[in-house]
Parts: sequence; C-alpha cells; structure tokens
Amino acid sequence: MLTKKGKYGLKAMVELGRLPEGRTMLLADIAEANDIPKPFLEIILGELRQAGFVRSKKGRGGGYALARPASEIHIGHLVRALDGALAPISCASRAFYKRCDDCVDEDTCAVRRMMLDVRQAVSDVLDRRTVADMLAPAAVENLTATLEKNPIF
Amino acid sequence: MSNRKLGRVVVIGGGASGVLAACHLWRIADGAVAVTIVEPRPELGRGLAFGTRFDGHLLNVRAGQMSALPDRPDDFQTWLAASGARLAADPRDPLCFVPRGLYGRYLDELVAHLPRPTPAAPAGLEHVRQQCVGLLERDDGVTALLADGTTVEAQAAILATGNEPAASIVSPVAMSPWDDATWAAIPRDGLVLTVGTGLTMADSVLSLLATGHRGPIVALSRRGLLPQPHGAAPPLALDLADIPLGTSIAYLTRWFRRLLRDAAGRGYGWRSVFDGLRPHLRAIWQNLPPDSRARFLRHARPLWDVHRHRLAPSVDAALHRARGGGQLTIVAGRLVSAEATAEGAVVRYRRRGGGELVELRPAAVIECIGLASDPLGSANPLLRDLLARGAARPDLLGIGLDVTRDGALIDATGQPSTRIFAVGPPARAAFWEITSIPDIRTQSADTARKIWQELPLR
Repeated sequence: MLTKKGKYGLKAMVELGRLPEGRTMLLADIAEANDIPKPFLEIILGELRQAGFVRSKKGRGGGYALARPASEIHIGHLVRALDGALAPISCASRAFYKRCDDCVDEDTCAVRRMMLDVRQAVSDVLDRRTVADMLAPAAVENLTATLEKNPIF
Repeated sequence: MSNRKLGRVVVIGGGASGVLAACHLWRIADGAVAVTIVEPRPELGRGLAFGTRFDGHLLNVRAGQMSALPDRPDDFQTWLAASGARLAADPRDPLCFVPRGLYGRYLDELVAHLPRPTPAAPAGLEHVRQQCVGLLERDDGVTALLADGTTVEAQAAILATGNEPAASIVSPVAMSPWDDATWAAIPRDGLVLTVGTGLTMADSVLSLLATGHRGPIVALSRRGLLPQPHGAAPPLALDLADIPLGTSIAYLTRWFRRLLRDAAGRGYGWRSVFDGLRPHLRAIWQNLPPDSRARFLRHARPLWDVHRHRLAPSVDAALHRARGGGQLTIVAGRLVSAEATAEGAVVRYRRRGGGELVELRPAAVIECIGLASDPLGSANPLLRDLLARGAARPDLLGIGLDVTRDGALIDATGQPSTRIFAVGPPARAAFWEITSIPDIRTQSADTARKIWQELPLR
C-alpha cells in the first residue's frame, strides 16, 4: 500500500508538473495547496531531490521544480524512491526480502504467490504511467490504451 | 500464404548478432520467410568475437548461459556434447568455459541446416558473400547495395554490423591483436608492450605464451585494472520492483553500494550482486536520465567493466602464473609518446598519480584498447553511408546509432524507420549491455518478433 509519504510525494510532483517552464514553487505553497504538513514535505522533497527528480533553487525567486520533463518521470520511479520496493508483503520483495515470522513453507504459501502476482500487476501500471499522465485527470484513459501507447522494456 | 508473395529480410553482417537475428526470424516465421545474410567472410558466426581459431581464447560466459535459443537453454551444451570437440572441461558442466572458436562453429551450424532458397521454393536462408555498402528505404521495402554492384531487395533490413576494433592510438607502431599473423612476427625473447589491460590483453598474453614467447610482457593502462575472474556463486535474486529505476546515477550508486553491503551480510559476494542485476541492466539504462548515463560512462565505466565482464578462472590462473613468474607486469600510467624504430618502438608513459616518466623499448606494441563505439569513426562503409545520407544518426552520447527501444534506426530528423533495425553492438546506446550472447539473444529475438508482427511479410 502507498504510504502517506508516497502519497504526499506524488501530490507534490503533480503540483510541480503544472508549473510553466522555468518557474519554481516554494515549499510552503506546495504544502498549503495540497494540505501536506510542511516538515514532512521538506523531508520528502529532500529525498526526491537526492534521487534526481526535483531540483531546488535557494534565495529570491527560489523554490522547487521538476528536474526532468514530467513525461520522463514514471510513477514507479517515485514510489520506489519514496516507499522502497513495490511489494505488498515483505516476503514478495526479493531485494528487501524478509521471511514472515509465522511462515511454515514459503514455496507453497498461497498468500505469497498471490502477492507476487499483485506486485507484478502494480509495477505493470506504475512503470508505464508518468507524472505527465497524472496532469490530465479529466482524460483518464483505459489501461490497455496506455499500454499500447507507452510500451516499455 | 500460398498465393501471396513471400517476404524477405536482409540481414547485414553474419557474425553472432546476424546469425541470431536470422535464426530467430526463421523460428518466429515458422520457416515461411526468405532471409539473406550479407557477409563477406566464408563462414557465418565468425565475427570479431568468435572468429578466433586459438583454443586458448575462451568464452567469458559460462557454457550453460550460451544457448542461442531462449526457450532451449541447454541447446549449446547439447550441441557441444555431440560435436566431438576435445575439451579440457566436461561439456555437460553448465559452469564450464569453452573455446570461443567452438561457439563460432555452433552459430554456423545453427543456420547451416536451413534450406537454401530456390525460385520454386523461395523460403530459406542464403548467404551472399559480399560487403554491403548502402541501404535505401522506400515506402514498400528496402534495397541493399553490395560492393560488386548487385542489390538485394527486401521488406526489412537488420543491421548486425557487430563490433569494430577501436581506432589506433599508437599507430603506426602498433600490431593488431585480432590478426593471427601478429604472434609469429614477434621475436620470442623481445619485450612486448600491450596498450590496455582488459580482456583483449588477456587474449593476447595467452596467444603470446602459446607461441612460446619467453620475453617480458608489460601491460599498460590508465588505471592498471585487470578483469576480475568468475566465481561459482549463484546470482542474487533481484526483481525489477526492487530497483530504484529513473533515479540519478548518484542515487543509484548509493543504492548499489548499500545492496552490496546488505548482500554481503546475507553471504552473497559482489559477483552474485552483479549477476543478479544483469537481467535488469537494460531497464536500468533505459530509465537512467541522459546526463546520468554520460556521468556513468565518464567515471564508472572502467570499474564497472572489470567486474561485469569477467575472465574464465583458467585464464585468470594463467595470468597469475605469468605475473608470479615475473614475465607479465601490469602498469598503471598514461601513454605519452610512441615512435617506431628499426628494432621496434620507443614508448614513453607517465606513471599514474603524476609519477615519473618511463621509457620502454619494446620489440612489439600490441594495441588492446578494446572496441570502437562512436559510429562517426566507423570504418564500415554501410554505417558511413547511412550517416552521410542522414538515414541514421549517432546517439547523444556518441556510443552507437540512435535507435528506438525496439532497435528501429532513427534518422537525422528524429524519425524512426519502420523497416531498418539494428541488433547487437550498433544498438548499444538503447540497451547499454549488448556485447554478450545472453543480451544479443534477447534483443535479436525481440527485433525478429517485431518485424514479423508489424511488416507485411506474409
């Protein structure tokens, strides 16, 4: 499930995606427009800046902006950077793998097998959509059309 | 398909990538296609990598991963066992490393049994022993121009021009490691300098030792890094969902370091991490921002290469013996000058870290600087023609042709071709790791599928 951090991060990215070319936005304004606690947003934007998705400018006329075009930033990129692996249960993540305390046999665990499929479905969606896709909420296309338009890998 | 005209695809280049592309096309079309491979060499599958006849030159990938067919992972080893080749290793061992020349033979035989096309039965594969010098795209097909003035008409073209040795940096004193005549021409007791300390240096040292070379060998490169040997550890299981795609190279590097540390805590060494990452390298590269790609190439590439492209353990052992015995010395330094003399050459280099200037008088200099990547420097007449006419352009980083994620050639105006596709090394810019068989196998199968699905070949 998307954490609060992931949700706030995506909201901030959409806000920044709406800015005209060359403009920046202050942290306080992003926080207010999206009802995000300022200190929390500061941490989130710091992480997004480190990961190379936003850039910041200090001083007068300063603020935050996307570091790359919105159409190049996939939602899956952001969720991985903010929330870690795209896994609904820790034993379904391979790199951040953790065996459940109550696990009897992982290979036959039906829950785990189901969650591996869920993980696949989640990344199938998040790795195909970009911040640019989130900027036009009125024109929600069906997934098939999006997949045909943006085949990846 | 009975009353329709049979489609034809022309494959330019008959080295490993060309053979794999032709083979996959044939399989996807279920034999209902005509394929023309344009390759001047007499045998197929014998490009720069697999053309060697020397059994000391081993594959850098384990036999178990070398099948040409993704759906039959043991195909190469089945062939190996039936080939009657005398091997130092057990051919049934998937972890063994076998001679590269043998792999060239496997590739040749992979397509040798396909039917030769005739006017009555046009489906099949033909090998035209010519150099392709030009390629024109029309609305309804492509025309390949050959050096003898003839042409091949087809519905689609696959560029499989392969690897080219890098342009010489110490010419005219340098000798080529790709020419078998080099080794016999070197005085046995003379000092030999190799410029470069990578995989080609390893091949060259083995060739020298096999001819009974007794003189000292000095291998020079900027950092003096040697390729690492393979180990036996299994790859770390990594999923694309776990990898921070799309982040900057600085972030990705920090993530990678942490992954190495975490994996070490669970008993996995760096080899397991590199091998676990391997299936995802293409996705990582394609999601990497362009300036991060450039930074990776500039700063991390040498270190990446020596860990990623590793030596067979027996080759590593031979290098160790030669170093231990004092015959082989690895030097980190920057080449300053090289001049030819009557006895060989005078070469000056400066030791790494602003050190002293050293003068060597080798009897022979072998240039082991690896492969060319900038298409603007290519000696291939076809690539030069495509670039000159604007039918192709170099990618932003100058490491290959600009192609789409499907391998379609992008022209000077930014328009992707619907009929010309690149596979293997020329498509490097879109795929990054496209130098070894497991990568080229996947890409050429994808390209063959795309051509078969999207072009009116049927």
